[in-house]
Amino acid sequence: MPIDVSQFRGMFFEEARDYVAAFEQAVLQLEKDPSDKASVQEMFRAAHSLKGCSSTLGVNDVAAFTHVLENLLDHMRERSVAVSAELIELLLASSDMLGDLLQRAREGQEPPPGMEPLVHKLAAHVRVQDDAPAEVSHGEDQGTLRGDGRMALEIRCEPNLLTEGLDPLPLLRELYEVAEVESLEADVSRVPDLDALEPERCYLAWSGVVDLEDGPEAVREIFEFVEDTCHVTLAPIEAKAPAASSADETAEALIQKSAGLDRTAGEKATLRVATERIDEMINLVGELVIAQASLAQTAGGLEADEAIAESIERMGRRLRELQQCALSVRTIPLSTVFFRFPRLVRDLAAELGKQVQLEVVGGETELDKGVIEGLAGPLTHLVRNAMDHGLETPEAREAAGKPATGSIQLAARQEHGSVVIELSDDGRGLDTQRILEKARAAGLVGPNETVGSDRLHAMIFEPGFSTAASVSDVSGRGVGMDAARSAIEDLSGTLHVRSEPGRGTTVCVTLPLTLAILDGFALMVGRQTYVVPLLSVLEVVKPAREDFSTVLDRGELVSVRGDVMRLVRMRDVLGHPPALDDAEGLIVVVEVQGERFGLLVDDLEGQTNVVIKGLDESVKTSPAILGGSIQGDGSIAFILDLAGVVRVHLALRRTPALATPESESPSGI
Amino acid sequence: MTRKALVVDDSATMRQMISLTLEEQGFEVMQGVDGADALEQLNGSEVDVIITDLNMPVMDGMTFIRHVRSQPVHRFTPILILTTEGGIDRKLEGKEAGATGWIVKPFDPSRLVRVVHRVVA
Repeated sequence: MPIDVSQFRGMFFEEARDYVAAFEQAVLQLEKDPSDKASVQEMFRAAHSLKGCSSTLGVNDVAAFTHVLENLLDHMRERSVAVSAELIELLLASSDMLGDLLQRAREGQEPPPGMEPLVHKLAAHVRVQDDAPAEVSHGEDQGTLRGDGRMALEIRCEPNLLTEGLDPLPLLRELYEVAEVESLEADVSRVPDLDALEPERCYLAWSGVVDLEDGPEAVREIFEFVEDTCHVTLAPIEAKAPAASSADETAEALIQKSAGLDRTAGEKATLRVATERIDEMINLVGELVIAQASLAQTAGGLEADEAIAESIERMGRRLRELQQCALSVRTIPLSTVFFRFPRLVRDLAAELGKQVQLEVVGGETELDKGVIEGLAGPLTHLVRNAMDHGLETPEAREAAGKPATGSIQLAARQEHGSVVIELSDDGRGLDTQRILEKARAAGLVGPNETVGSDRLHAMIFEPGFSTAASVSDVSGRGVGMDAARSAIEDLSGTLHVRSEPGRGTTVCVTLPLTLAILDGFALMVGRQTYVVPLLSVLEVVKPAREDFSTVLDRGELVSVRGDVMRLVRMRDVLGHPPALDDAEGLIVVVEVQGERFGLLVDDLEGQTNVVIKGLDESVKTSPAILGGSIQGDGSIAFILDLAGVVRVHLALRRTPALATPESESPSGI
Repeated sequence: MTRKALVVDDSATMRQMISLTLEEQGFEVMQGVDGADALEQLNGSEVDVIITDLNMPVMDGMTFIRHVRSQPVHRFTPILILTTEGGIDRKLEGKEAGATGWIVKPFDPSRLVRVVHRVVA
């Protein structure tokens, strides 16, 4: 039984998205370089593949639309069609229409009202380019096949059919299945003498009389796929008027047939697995890794024999491979987010009256699907912001001695177990003086406080912070940059800004490869183990008494190699009784929202991988705690949310009653 | 003996549809994402039938067919072109390249099965 093609619909819709993205990219490429034939070819290929699949699967609106689109592209391919702005707009509109049509087809909706006018525009564009008639349809000798009943059959094949991979015998056998063959004889008149005979050539032809009860179509169909090699003529013996039919109608009928397939029929071929099930698997694998670690620990304590230790070690290696493998199920390439930016940048540039060249690098870098989905929003905002506030107008750029066209680069790379995405522009850079004024006005910085440029740069991500002289539609009114930061932080990522006046700004987003497993740093507070994301930890130092100080405006500070930062007493934040001696503890330097903090902890356990488990609301007592993780020895480690830690710290400072007076007195002064 | 088929198409959906159709018919199916990839998959080995698209990146179908047909082991291998293109020029070009036959999309599994059985004994 031939398969039911409707099961491929789901897979098609997934794939179709890539084609539309490739199409759009090619249009933008063509706009940049109107002589680029490859991009026309690329568009054609995308439209062509979409047409092939959609007509097969009965996604008729898409099939019909791509058919018209393909005509235009074919024209562009064959002839030198001038690439006008109008043509680019038309192609971009087509790209949008394809996306819309696919979305609607997937949901079983009617095509949008805009489709008809666009189809007319596309067709009109072809007509403008070409007054010549459309291509000749295939199978022009079908007239000889018309008629039914008894017919004279003649089959003449080209002698080289064997080396074209065709053996005529199965075709002749099939003839007996579809028609009543009264007679069929081989015509050997063309067979040469033995010395002239080439064994790889076929000199035979066949003729006979057949009775075709079901009409000539059945015979024609047998030879249709080789109609240029085997020429079949069927002449009615008792002549009748030929029926009106054509190859196109056959195709039409096939489309009708496939259109009849159940639209909602299961989309089984792509193995679609609910994310929860994958997560459950990843979770279980993670716990297996931990169980193995615990087994290794126990075996080590027992001084078990070497063979056992070795197999436990081997098991560990396999488990880590399994874990990698399980995690990779969830990863997809960043290009699935990046593909939208060329179009976004183009449209924004037009809107803002700026000239921009976008370069995208590293789209093949893979990341957890959850992270990627969460990235689209914040990245879009960052790009908008760079376009709106970062880049200058062409005039301003030229006045500053820069090329009129600004450049934006979006580059991704994998780096030590995380993914780094850098968005750089060569615009005006951040105005630190303005930022400082704003920050002072907003009370974020004390009137006499001096602030490093790193912290000033980070302030653009503070809520309600916008230094743009005018508020534009494009990047909003200061909401957004802080939303972008919190979205990135929700993905356990971090955000840094580097900027040089007049040279440009780079926003650097660092993200973990996966959300399910945290590359952590384990530390002890009280007798409890806590884990912080390794990405946030800058260094760990053993403080001396004289490193601690208190400044009226900012509370307790700690100096780490001359770098002064706020001190966060983790015992206070996490509700443990205060330690007797600050200098007995360790300072873990972390970066939270662009500012460095020194966390005072009791001890370190070092780097660790933890499988994050959400905590019950009843257990999750503090905003400083993100989740929990079971350790090798079965105990629980709490995973800290550093932004939450800072919030709790600040809240404690505002209500000093909660802090113990003794512990508040700085040791060093 | 299991019969082998090679399916060449840059669309994963098409490849899967064709492959599954042939697998249902008892074929062992290899897949190539373009001509160059398919040649690599083939690596001089024998197959009973090759089904290829024309319009593909890296190496298009025509070039692929020429390469295959020039290998002695594939002198008689049936090569079917499965495409949306049906113009007479293209067909002649395909014939010249060494293609056996032509199946015009839309893809209909039962038609493919019928044609494949015509070229694979």
